[in-house]
Amino acid sequence: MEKYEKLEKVGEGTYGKVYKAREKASGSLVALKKTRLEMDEEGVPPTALREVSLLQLLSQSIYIVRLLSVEHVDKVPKSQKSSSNPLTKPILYLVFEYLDTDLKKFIDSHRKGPNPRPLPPPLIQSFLFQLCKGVAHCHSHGVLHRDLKPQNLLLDQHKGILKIADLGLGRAFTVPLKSYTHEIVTLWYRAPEVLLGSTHYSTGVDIWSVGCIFAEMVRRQALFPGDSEFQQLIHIFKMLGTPTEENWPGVTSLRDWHVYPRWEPQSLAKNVPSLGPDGVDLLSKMLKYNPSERISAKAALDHPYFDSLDKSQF
Amino acid sequence: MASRGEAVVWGGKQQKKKKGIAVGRNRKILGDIGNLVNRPITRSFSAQILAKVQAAAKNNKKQASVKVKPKAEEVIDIEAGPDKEVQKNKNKESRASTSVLTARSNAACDITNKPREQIIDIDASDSDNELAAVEYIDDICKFYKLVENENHPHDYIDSQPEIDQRSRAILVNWLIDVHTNLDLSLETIYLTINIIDRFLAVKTVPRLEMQLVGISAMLMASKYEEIWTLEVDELVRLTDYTHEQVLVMEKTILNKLEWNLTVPTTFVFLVRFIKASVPDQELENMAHFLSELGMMHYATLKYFPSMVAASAVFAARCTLNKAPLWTETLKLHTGYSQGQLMDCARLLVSFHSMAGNGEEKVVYIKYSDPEKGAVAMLPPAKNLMPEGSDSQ
Repeated sequence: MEKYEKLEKVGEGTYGKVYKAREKASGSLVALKKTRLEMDEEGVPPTALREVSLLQLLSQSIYIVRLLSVEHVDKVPKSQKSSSNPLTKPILYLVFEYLDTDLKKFIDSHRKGPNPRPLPPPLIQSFLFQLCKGVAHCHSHGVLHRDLKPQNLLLDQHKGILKIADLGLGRAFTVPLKSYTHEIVTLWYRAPEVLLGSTHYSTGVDIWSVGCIFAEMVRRQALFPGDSEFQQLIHIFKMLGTPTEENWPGVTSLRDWHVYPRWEPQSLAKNVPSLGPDGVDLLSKMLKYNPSERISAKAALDHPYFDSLDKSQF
Repeated sequence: MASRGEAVVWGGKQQKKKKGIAVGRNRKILGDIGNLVNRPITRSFSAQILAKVQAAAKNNKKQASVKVKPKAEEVIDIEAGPDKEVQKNKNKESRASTSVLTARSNAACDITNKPREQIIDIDASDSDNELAAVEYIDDICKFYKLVENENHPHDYIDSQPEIDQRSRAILVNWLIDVHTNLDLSLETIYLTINIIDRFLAVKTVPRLEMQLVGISAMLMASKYEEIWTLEVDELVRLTDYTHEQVLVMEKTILNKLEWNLTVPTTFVFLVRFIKASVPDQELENMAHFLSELGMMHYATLKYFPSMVAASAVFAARCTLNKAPLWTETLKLHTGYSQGQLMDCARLLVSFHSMAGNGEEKVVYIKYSDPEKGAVAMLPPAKNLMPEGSDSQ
């Protein structure tokens, strides 16, 4: 790791710290994602194994963050440096291209601080299109991301580019999709089928997250900010109405279904007041209760909301 | 000829107009094909003609709904042009030669009046099932087919001084047994064997470390595929290796394979191709049995995973006397014709015929279970067996 000069800590990933660093030879900036591999434990974490492997597959897309290299390092702790036979601590570094911010920080900078202002509608449109492109790329290569949220969407502000990052919870799927863990996706962006205990889920879980992110760009605050699984469901039900067997066949058979109060759906347009009719229509299709009715990322790219976008640049 | 009030649509697109004439290559029907009747109808020529006819038919379908109403003075006469008179005189000749041409091309392309076998939409019943990922499944399969050769191990046995086909078979047999006892997913065992073969193709391994490579590969595959991953000690307990040796080997394998574990194994193709076979449970079990037998044997490695999967389905259909043995639907989804699968299918059937003998019979025992329809005990496909050979 002598090749890199650490500059500052910029965050915490799924399984370790993330540093901004400079490659000494070229002077280019990189992000170093560090994870400890203690030899008395289980070796390489499944999250790291999947993330690296999936990024090898997906990194050809400009809408997915580029993994530059993987470095296995045996670090000698300070206490062992004088020892003739030191115990080393194995560390894994994932070296990524560096992007200067993420969508969460970007939204926050428009909500608070010296100059609060809405995100420009063309920028929201562009970011959403790039996000759908990236998600469609994942899905058409048989990969679920399973942790889409503003913090995991990196931005190059100057070029107006958005890239999907952190595939630590991602996984390749075979069709038909089998049972997977339901401990996925940060609460606010978690699809209702997952919140209700379904372990059989599909590409729709990522689309629900995309819908929540879309609304958050427009509102500059989270659409469903729950602080527990139960509260998360209540937030969703209060806005979209309590789901029924009519609009979501099979919902009452899901593992964690209880008898919930019957809330009527609110107007989605009122919750995203600055969004035009096409945008509201796309958002409503992303937030369909029934996963099989939810729009796909591929189909979303052809939605009229994007008609005014110059797609030749993407 | 366009009726009044309709613009001419040419090749699916409306042509630009210049002084009332449709701009574009306004070729009259076969008018500027030179030696119209004398050209020999070769296969490639008839294929070209057929393709054009089909494309035209397709466009005609599309055009049916395209109606643009121009102003009265803008109605276009597609026969406008200097050679209009000449063309009229050629009409009879043109019609006659066209019918000859059509008849010949139909014969050359084996187009008869007998009904063509229907291609079944195997995903139609899953349009409301999000777990079938209907919108993406073709993209995924296409992508897997594209990259399967990148992750396919080359012939490595000759470059391994201490390992032969037999020692590999013993290892795989043991791993399938472990996999069954630990109740792991099928994806995990296929990935385990893929990791082992790719590693052995790039690194010389002493015979004494074969089992270490095997359990380390299984550890990695379970981390990649399972919800509840194996613990190192679960595997160490089954062998004489230490915890640390397994983790060092895991690291070695990962670095050698450049962390590339997202690879299309035979399993991902098999699931899709079984679906394309519109199977019953017996056919599904038989295809899985033959595919797992293939995984046991080094000889199968000379075929790409998609071909092994397709051959397993074909051999299963032969074994169970399904008619037809290979369908247009299967040809479409696998990308292979029956002829292309014969060698690999014969190999799988030969494994079936020997499966009950010898020491490596974990797969045979697994598929002799009534829960798996006892398909291993069915006689192998006679039509894929060498002349005069006895089964089992």
